[in-house]
Amino acid sequence: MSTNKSWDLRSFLDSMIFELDQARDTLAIKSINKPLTYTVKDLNLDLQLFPEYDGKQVKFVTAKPDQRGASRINISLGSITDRQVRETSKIPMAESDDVTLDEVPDLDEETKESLKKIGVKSAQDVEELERKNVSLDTVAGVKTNVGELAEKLRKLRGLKSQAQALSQAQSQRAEQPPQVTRIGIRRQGAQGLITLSGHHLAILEDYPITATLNGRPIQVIAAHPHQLVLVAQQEDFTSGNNPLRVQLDAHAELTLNLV
Amino acid sequence: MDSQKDYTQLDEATAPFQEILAGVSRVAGQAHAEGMGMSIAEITVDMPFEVDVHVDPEEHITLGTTPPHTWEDVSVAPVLHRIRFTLAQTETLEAPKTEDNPSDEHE
Repeated sequence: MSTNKSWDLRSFLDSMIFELDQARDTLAIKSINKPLTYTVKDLNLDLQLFPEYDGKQVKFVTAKPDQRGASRINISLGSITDRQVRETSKIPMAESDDVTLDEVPDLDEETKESLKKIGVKSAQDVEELERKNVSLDTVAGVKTNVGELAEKLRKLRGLKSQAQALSQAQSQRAEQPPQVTRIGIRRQGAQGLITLSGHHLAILEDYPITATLNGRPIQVIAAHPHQLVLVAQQEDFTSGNNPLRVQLDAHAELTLNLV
Repeated sequence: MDSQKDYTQLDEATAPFQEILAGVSRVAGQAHAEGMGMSIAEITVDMPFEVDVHVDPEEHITLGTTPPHTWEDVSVAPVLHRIRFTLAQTETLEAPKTEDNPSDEHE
């Protein structure tokens, strides 16, 4: 046998499930041409192991030939439906906007480890404890105020989603740079109507577009990807150069000079 | 979970666990006689086996298994673990399930 290194139960189960999945895939292919096939319904393992504990984690070593006194570990795996998987599993972190404890900068490692040991890994977990009014100090001996931690994680989640939104907006803007193809100015009483036509002008629905003419704020009355309509007062115009600045979003600003 | 495993690290006397499972499931499953037929509904295998747990530097595990190499008394006895698994007809497991409608309750 190869070297007898210790392993943790989670990796062992991952490997076992991988083997089961592969076996099931093979059998599924077989069932294409052979109507009556079999698949693994349940599996039960009785393993002779020696547990090890390093103060943080329990690991196991498979018993070697002629070793006596091994512990017997029984693992049972049964089939469950997709619905049961959904009901008993959380959405993986990468797919949700949750925040992990590891992302909290001012939470010490010992507290993080203590929380992870009792299954608390994310903002969602902490909020669940907060809802159920759990005192971690009393129940698990972890000296952390659940309410304060939940608040901290909520702030962090807010910042994270803001950063994600900004980054999305930035990449969207990089793919769709603004382009002005035509400028129209029309006098309407004491006001001047400035129409900018082009492509990718207003691409973020929620962003409040602002504009200035000669440094004075002017009104934006319509904002579409292909057209912007601005209204300036007569006194906003000067006889010479009229620099027009339009902040389309956090990553795009138009600067034009109306002469 | 790993999409690929390197089985070359395993003890050559063992085989990937999936091969044992797939090997046992290679059964015809049906017996026909004139006018009647039978099929195997489930197969339960319960056997001792030897296992090789290979742990790579990234702590990923590859499982090698084999039925016992010997039934004789030997000076250094191998460690025998035990495995029990049930194989069921694929169509039985994949049979469409009825919708879970809440039962109508009348007072």
